[in-house]
Amino acid sequence: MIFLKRFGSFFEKGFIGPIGDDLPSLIPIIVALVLFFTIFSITINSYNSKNESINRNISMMNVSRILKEDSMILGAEQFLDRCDRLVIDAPRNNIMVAIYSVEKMFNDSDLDSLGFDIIEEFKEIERLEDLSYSNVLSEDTDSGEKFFFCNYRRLGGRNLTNMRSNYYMRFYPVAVQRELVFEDISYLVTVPSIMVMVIWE
Amino acid sequence: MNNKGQAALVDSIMFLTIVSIICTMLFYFAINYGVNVESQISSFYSKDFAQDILKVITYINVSRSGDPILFETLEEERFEPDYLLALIKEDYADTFGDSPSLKDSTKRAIATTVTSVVAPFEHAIDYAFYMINESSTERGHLFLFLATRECVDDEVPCPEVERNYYYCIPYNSNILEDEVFPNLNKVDSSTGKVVLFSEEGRGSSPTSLHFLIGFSGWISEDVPVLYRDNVLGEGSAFNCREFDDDFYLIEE
Repeated sequence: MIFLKRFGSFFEKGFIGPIGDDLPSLIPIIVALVLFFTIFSITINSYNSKNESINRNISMMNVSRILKEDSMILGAEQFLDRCDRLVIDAPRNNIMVAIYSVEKMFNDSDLDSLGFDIIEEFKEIERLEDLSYSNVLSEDTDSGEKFFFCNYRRLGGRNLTNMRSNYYMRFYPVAVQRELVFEDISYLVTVPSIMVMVIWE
Repeated sequence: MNNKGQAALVDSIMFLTIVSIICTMLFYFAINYGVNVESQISSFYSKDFAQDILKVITYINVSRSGDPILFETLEEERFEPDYLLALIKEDYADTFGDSPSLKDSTKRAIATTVTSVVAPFEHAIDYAFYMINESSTERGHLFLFLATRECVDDEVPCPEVERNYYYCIPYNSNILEDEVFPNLNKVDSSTGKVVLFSEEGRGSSPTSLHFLIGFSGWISEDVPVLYRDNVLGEGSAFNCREFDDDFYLIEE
């Protein structure tokens, strides 16, 4: 009798078992958990990527403010001083900046195609020069194509050539004072130029 | 299913409902987070760009003949670098009465200076560079330099677009705000103040007048009010003359 009573539930209609009876209620719980963790991970990823984008934009703004100041560059020495200040500010990203003559670089090209050429040129500079942490290499060229160049690498930063993420490029109009020798007379003339900044993680 | 099973099912459905509400809120947060900050940063960059353009226009040298200073093609007898504002101030001070005007070489200098500064962005934006007398209520423009694009054909889509440059003296000081800007999505402007001197007549004391110098740029759009037929000539509100490819004004 006790045996029959104990196992009597087995003879009730519709009875599957202790777990079997709870199975239908498990399905919405599992769906809810999957949904929650999926949406949560999407939110976290979106939050992180937007924060990265905002920090990068702020970094570019700060660096551009330091390097161009009032959009006037009086010479290589002044640009060198400004470039050196990047080390003090220690931006979170790797940065390369070059100033190009409008006359030489933009006669026939538009910014899109020129952007690729500039990246290739920066990669070539990386290949030829020993660029390391906080190396603020600057050069003044007389070719008229590129006046000044400034490089900043954060500690442990990767090169442009083997970066893991995308690079971002911005263009800023600046005025640069240059020496022009004409009929053996030296003139200081201010010419329109473009400051190109490339930034990456 | 017994009563306990039914209760557990209802509990789990309620749990699913609550989690769905939370997920909706999380998703809404993910979509909207940082949107305002990013748009403000983007707006700051484009405002900064307009300010930089205006500064560079006033900083750079231009030849007094109006030729751009190109290192490879300097003409020996015409090289005399100066600043654009200096040329404008001189011309303004040299003219008397109510209708100050600039010399043709100065008008050319304006065109070559502004186009050389904007050259890297030429393919993307249209723009206006102007000086307005702040104390004049009606015809306050000293000049308005316009760079616009216009479709050469009526076909859709436009097969070819031509670039036009105009030198204008509009009749309305607010013509850009009234006629042009309402047709555009986004305009980035920058202004500054300049003092010019003028004389009522020979021998009289010079009067200082405050001028607004400004640059406005926008992504190229089809704006009918800026079509050549609507801006050229004294009969139009803009009262423009067109520049040729070498930035000499075309005779009317």
